Amino acid sequence: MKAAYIMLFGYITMIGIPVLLMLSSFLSPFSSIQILRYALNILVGIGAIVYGIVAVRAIYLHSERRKP
Amino acid sequence: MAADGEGVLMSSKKNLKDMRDGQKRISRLSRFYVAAYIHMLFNRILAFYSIIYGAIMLYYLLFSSPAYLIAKVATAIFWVLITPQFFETVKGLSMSWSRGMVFGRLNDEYISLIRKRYGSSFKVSVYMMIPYVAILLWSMAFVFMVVFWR
Repeated sequence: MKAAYIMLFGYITMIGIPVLLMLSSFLSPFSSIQILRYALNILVGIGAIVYGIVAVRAIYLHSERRKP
Repeated sequence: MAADGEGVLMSSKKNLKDMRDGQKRISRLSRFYVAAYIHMLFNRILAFYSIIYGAIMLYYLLFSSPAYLIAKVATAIFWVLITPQFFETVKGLSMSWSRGMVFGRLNDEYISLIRKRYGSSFKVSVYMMIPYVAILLWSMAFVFMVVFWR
């Protein structure tokens, strides 16, 4: 897989997780749409794992500068 | 070798030293860019914690709904850790939407020309406010999460 696609996952999750978390929080007082919150939270969980893997790769595995 | 000495110039090897070093050393950021240092520090912890949090969240949702308190505390920690990341991401988006007019580090002449071409002072102030409005909504959502999550 190309690095650009992996970074795309990183970008989607770094803006997507906070947006989904906010939506989920604002929906939490309404008990009639809990199934929607459940779906949002599952997406948050999957997104967090994806973000973690991409971030560990970017920070700890590929952080060395290339030698000229 | 060319007579004009080009060959001598081109073949001489300089000992280049890249003083920036790897991105692992973030502590030097604290001397000149504290916001970036906090962002990097939080993101380094978040990278590992994010995987753990995702696992806790999925376990809570799919297998054990009584574990909601653990999931709630884990969410609160995640919320705090991802805050600088969220703020900087929105700031970056605002910068690119405004063509670098706000939060950019372009030179003054270029900024004044690009404002004349694309932006009014109203637009500029709206772009300036986007990250702060986002972080305000983000904090309100945190309160909602703490109070209403069950």
